[in-house]
Formats: sequence, C-alpha cells, structure tokens
Amino acid sequence: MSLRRLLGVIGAVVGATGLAMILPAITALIYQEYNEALQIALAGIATMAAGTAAFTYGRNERQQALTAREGFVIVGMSWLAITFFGTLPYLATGTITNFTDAFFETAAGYSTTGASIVPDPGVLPKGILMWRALTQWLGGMGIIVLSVAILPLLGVGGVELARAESPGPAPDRLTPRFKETAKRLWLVYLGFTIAETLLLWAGDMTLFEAIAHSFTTMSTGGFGTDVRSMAAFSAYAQWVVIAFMFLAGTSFALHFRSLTKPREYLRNAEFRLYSGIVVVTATVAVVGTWADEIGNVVRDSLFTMTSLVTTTGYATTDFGIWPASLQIMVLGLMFVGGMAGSTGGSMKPYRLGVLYQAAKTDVRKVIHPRGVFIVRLGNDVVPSGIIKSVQSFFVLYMFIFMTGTLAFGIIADISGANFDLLSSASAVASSFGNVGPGLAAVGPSSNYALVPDLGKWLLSFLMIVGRLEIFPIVLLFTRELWRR
Amino acid sequence: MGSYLAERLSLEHQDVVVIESDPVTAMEVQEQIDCLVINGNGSSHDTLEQAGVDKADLFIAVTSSDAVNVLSAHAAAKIGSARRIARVEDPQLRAGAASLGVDLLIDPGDATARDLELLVRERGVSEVREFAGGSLALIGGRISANAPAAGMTLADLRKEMDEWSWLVAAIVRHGETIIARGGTRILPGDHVVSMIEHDKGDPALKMLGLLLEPAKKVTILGSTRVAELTAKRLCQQGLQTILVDPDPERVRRIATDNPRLVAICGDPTDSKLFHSEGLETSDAALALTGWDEINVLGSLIAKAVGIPIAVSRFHRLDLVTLLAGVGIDGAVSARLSAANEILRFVRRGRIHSVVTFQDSDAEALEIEVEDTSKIVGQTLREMHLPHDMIVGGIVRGDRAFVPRGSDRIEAGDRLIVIALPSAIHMVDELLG
Repeated sequence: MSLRRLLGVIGAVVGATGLAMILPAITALIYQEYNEALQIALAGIATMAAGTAAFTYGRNERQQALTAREGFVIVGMSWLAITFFGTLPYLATGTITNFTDAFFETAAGYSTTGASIVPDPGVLPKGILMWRALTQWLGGMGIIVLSVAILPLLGVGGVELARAESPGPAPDRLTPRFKETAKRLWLVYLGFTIAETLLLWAGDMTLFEAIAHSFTTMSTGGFGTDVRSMAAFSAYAQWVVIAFMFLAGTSFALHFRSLTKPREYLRNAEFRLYSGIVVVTATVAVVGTWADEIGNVVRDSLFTMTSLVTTTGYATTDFGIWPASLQIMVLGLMFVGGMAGSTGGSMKPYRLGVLYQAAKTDVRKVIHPRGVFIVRLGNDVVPSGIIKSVQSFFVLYMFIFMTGTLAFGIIADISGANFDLLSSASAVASSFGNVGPGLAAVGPSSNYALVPDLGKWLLSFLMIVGRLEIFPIVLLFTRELWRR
Repeated sequence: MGSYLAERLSLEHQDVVVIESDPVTAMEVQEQIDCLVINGNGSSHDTLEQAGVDKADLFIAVTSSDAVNVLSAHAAAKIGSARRIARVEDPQLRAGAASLGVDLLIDPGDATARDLELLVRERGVSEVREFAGGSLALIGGRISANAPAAGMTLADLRKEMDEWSWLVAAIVRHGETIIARGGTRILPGDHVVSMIEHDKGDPALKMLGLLLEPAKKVTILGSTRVAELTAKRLCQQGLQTILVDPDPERVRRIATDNPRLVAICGDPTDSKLFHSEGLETSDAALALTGWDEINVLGSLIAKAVGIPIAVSRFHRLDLVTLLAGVGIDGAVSARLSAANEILRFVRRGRIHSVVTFQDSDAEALEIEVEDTSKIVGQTLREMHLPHDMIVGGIVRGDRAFVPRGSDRIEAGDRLIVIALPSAIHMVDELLG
C-alpha cells in the first residue's frame, strides 16, 4: 500500500469538493452577498489548491486497480479530509467562528446527519445555507458510491447489487464496472432531486428553498433553512417531502431496476420490511398522539416516522414532548435506517432482518441439532459469510453506541452541562445513526450548540464512523493495516 | 426399465421390439424375454426402420438419457409410428418436447414421488385408486396380525358383513397375485386390494385393520432425485417433512431449494440420530437413498424406533415384491412407477381407464359394455369368468356399486375388471 498513491486519490476528492464551493459562491452573488461570495470562493480556491497539490504528488504512481484494503483507507481518509476542508466556507465568512463548531456542522453535513449547532438557520447568509445543503447532497452522492464499491465488501447490499450488475470474478477489486453502476445510480439520484425541486417550487417554497430542501431530502440529511424545520412550510410541501424521504430511504439500485418493472419493489424483502416499519410505527404514533384535527395527526406521524426511519431528521412537530412510550419508539427507530444502497444511515433493515432470521435459525437448531437450516430474507438465501459480517457489525454498532453514550455522559458531567441519560443516549444514537435531532436537551426544538466542545468532537467522530458503516474508520486504527 | 416394460407387454401377447445399443445387454434381453431385440442406436433412422417403427402402434423411448429419448421419439415421428412416449427428467426439456412429436412424457422420479405422496397421505393404505368420480375406490393395504379379518376366508368375511358395500378383489402374497375367491384365506402380511364404495368404506377398513389417518410428519432418508421430488411434494401438501442424508453439500442445496423442509445432515442408519432429532415421532419413514441395502436397513431401524409405516425404494425389481411386507410396509421402484404410467397409456379403445399397482402386476380396467355384447342380461355368476379376473365394480349411470354374483349386466354399464396380465388379452373377447 503506497501512501503517496492514496494521497493522490484523496487529493482528487478534496479538489472536487473545492470545485463544488463555486455553487454557494454563485448563490451568494445572486443574493448580493458580495463579501460572502468572495470569501466562499477563496475557501474553494484554497481547497482546490490543496487537492491539486496532493493529486499531483501522487499522480505518477503506477496505475493499478485498488485493493479492498486501499479502498477502505481511501474512503476513511477522504471523508475526514473533506470534512476538514468543508469547514473553510463557515470559517472564512465568519458565520461560525469556532473550529470545533464548524467541524461539527460540516461532519453533520457530509455524513447527512443534519445535527446542527446553528440556533436559527434563517439568519445565515444564503450562500452558507446553500453550502450546508450542498455538503449533504454531496455526502449522499458519496454514499451511493460507497454502496456500490464498499458495502458489497461488507456483505450489505451485495446481494442487491449482484443481481443488478453481476460484478466480475474478483469481488475484492474495485473494477471499472463500479464506475458504470455508480453513474446510473447518480442519474436516479439527480432525477429525484430535480423532480422534488420542481414539486416543492410549485408549492409555497422559493426556488432557493426548494433546491436546498431537495438536496437535504434526497441525501436523507435534514438541514433546513428555517428554525421551525419543515413546520415552516405548507401541508403540501410536507407531503412532497414525506414521499421523497421515503424514496431516498429506498435502495437506489432497486429504483433503477424498478424503472421498467415496478413490481420489483414488492418482491424485495428488505423493501417490504422497510415500508412495513414506517407504516406500523406511524400507525402507533397516530394512536399515541390522537387529537381532534386527525389530518394533521396523520401527517405529522407519518412525517416523523419516515424522517426517523430514513434518518433524515426533519421535524414538523416536536416529538420531544410526546408521551414517554412514543419517545422510546423514537429512540429505537434511530437504529433502523434506510435500505442498504439508499442514502439513509444507521443499521439498515437488511441487517436487522438478517439478524432476526439468523437468530430464528439458531433456535430451530436446538430442536434439530444436526439440521441444516438456510437463513433467508424473503426468498433470497443469505450466504453464511454475510450473516457473520452482519452479526459482527451489530456487535460493533451496539458496543460503539454504549461506550459512546458513556463517554458523552462523562464529558457532559465534567463540563457541568445538563444532559440527562435520555439526552446523552439519544444524542449518541442520533449522531451515530446519522438522524440529526435527538430527544430531551437535543430534541427537535433545540440544537447541539450547548454540547461541550469535547462532546461535539465525539459526536462528529460518531457521525463519520456511522456513515461509513464503521469498518473503514475502525480499520484506520488497526496496526495490521499500516504494516507493509 | 425398457426390459421390464418389454416383459410386461410381451406377457400380454403384444409384439415387442427392443432396441438396445449395448450388445451384451441386448443378448441378455433376448434370452429372458419373448421379443425381438435389435442391437443399435435407438436415435438413428436406419435402426428405427429396421425395427419396423413405421408399422408400430406405439414407440417408447426410455433410455437414461433425456436427449436420446427426445431425439429418437422425434425420429420415430418422422418415420411414422402411431404414438410416442419419451422419458424426460429435465423439466426445462419437457416444455419443448411436446412440439417435437412426443405424445406422453414420463419422468420415473416424479411418478415415484407421486405414488409416495399418495401412500403417505392415506397412511396404512398403501394404494388408493379412484373410479367413477371417486364413488368407488380400489384400496390396497397390508394386513397386520391383529386385523379382525386376518385368518378368515372371504366366505367367512361375507357372513360378518352387514352390508354389501365392498369386496376383496385380489391378494398379493410372496410376490404373487391371487384373484380372490370365496375360499381364499386372508393371512397376516398379505397385501389386499379391495373395492370399496367410498362413502361406506369405514367398516371395510376396520375389518382389514387399515386406519385412514393421514400422516402429519414424514421422515425421508436419502437425498436422491426421488427423495428431493417427494420432499417437495410433501412440503407442498403442508406436511412436516424431514430429510436425512450424510452428504452436507447435497443437504445444503436441497435445504436451499425447499424453504419449508427440515434438512438434517447425518447417517440415515444411525438409530441415535433418530432419537436426537426427534424422528421417531414421525408417522411414516420413506427410505429413498440410492442403495437398496441402506434403504432396507433404514426402514428396519425406522420401524424399530417406533415409526408405524416404513416404505423403501428398490432398484432391484425382485426386491419390490419380495420384501414388501417383510418388516417393510411398502416398496416402490422408479422403474415400476414409470412403467405403470406407460401401461395406463397403452390401453385404449373401449377401455376408459387403467389402474396399476406398485407391487402387483394385476391391473384394473374400466370397460364399457356395448348394446350388442353377449353378456348383456347375464348375471355375473352366469358369465363364468376365468380365475384370473374379477368384476369389482359396476358404474351404471351416475350410480356406482360393488356387485354380487346375482347382479345382471345392463347395456351401457361400465365394468371395473381386475385382471392378471395373462387374462388381459381375453378381456376384450369375453365382453365382446
């Protein structure tokens, strides 16, 4: 593994995000925020310069397909690098003066979490709001690449994509075929984004708001442009967002395959599980929050549950003041996530389904000790290698959640901040699952500004670890990786 | 399989030509069976012409190769044989074979699986064949030592009966089929074929000691194609099905293809395995491995650990009739199942349906009596039927019944005749 060569690739990624800063700079120009436009443009140029330098440094290394190990390292390092450079527009314009806060905000952007330290997004310059939304949209694009190139190596989404693309004989190599797949999925992503923008624009949103919200819906990010989140917009806009959150939480490979055969959706076991969870929990929420204006209750319940399951994190109602039993359900949903191959975060219904089926099989084993039982999700057989990797993923996920909550509690206690158990656990679960808002002190009506600095670093780190499905980041900390 | 068919058909006084590619086998067939044997490739045009396929009423291709069977049936169709039967196992090939001039496709494995399914569904009864839309049924079953009818002659049995709703048609004993007479004595271990009016069947089954309780849990030993097909059928019927085989790869593949099946990787002749996996509470065990020896052993162990019914599959045809009843409740053979299917197809004309049995070469034929027939107006007693056939049922209009000797035949009746192969060619002239 050549560090120089890795730098080359990472440089290219960083350079590309620098290029992307042109869009918020132009937005600022349009809204006559000339200072901000200049500052964002400078940040972009600085980022591009750094990226180009690294790219040039690593370019001359021999060209060869990347190994899985290199792929993991590149993903982990690139994500950290773009988050670092992504802070520049905030710092350059002075909208966020503290580096910790800027890093938190950028991490919440690229990881499509949507947790924010900004008390009121409405007062931010339009250029910066665009950058916030754009980081999420780019993060969503990155996740789609990951779902093609990395997740199959972790045994998630592999079955899904194998059927769509049938990858070559060496699955541990990142072959050019992945490029083609990624391009197709990006087209679907782009298509949905444009469609949502037009639908929202047709309602009560301005074009700017429509674009910003489409960016953060399709990436299941959840950054808004108003302090009231989606509650600031009409019922029509909320219904549109419910539909597109649901689409964003669905596997993009499945979308692509279903373009010509819509029946494919229902044939997919993970899709059935995913939509089942949304419908059932929304029904429970309707019953739990029953009120006279039943139309609003249904819309709010469906909106909240779709937002939580897809890990978007928009809010139309403050679920922080719901009955305790419903709040426990909210906390539980932070561990579900969108489908494998979607832009949603967290554990994914696929993994939960496999875990359940594998456990069921183990119970049957007690009755028939010599029985050969095949774990399947729907009609698809789950290979034993995938079961193992899903089980270890689950163990790692819960372990990180537990230790994260403990660490967060300790940090909060030492800094004298007032965070109870529910706040701590939900802040960690929400960041780790890339949801956004938590409960109690970090609920939808509040924000993360009051979290102590060390706590913000912990949460930022968890967002990135969770977004990259744990393994690529954990791998960076293993000694074996760095040995020759 | 071809030689068994040739033997059956030649016993019925049909002219049989066998085409066999292996000279040694050809010689053996020539020695054992009264037929013409041609040594050559069955799919070649010349060989087929030499065999006189153009004059044949029926062409049967039952080699072990699907491709050869379809190809030679196609060639025979071109030369001009009347009807063609081909053995095809590959389900994908079956769809296209019909367009290539094959009138009947048979699959020995599937035919066996179908027989086994029937056998398991009606436990204790080893065969059920229905007539006249189900109002009459031929039921085959093994007589156990404690059955009320054991040791009685049929004449004794008559006196015990309250109602004339059933009769014993044939008895299979030591591999030999006897058409039942008044003086015939039922012995334990006999396989008895009875004609029963279906809605009044219970007293008969009680007398013969056959319980008609369908199985709920079935253990299959082995992972052969027949085992897999049977398991699939039983699973589809909603039965709790367990398959045991020592080959982990095959077990895994079968488990993958059949979600409802419980597949166990283990030795099917290991009595401890029967205990630890809870197989001893099965209602039936089917030994379907590829080895006759293991099937016998597996069946005996199954019986010993307390499974009430054990059925074994045999390659060697003599074992099918010999061992059924000796510790094993029933025996099947893929070759017999498929041959029976072909025999049903062979009969045509006034014969409406034909039924054959697993361990007996007797057949049941449903024949229409024409207005001009000389037997119209005769009682059964007056007909003086030969000893190797019996009229087991009469279908008259929408009524079907088990006849007495004093019943008269009417024009338009359909008779259900149970006959041995030696009598089948006489059925026509007797009724004509």
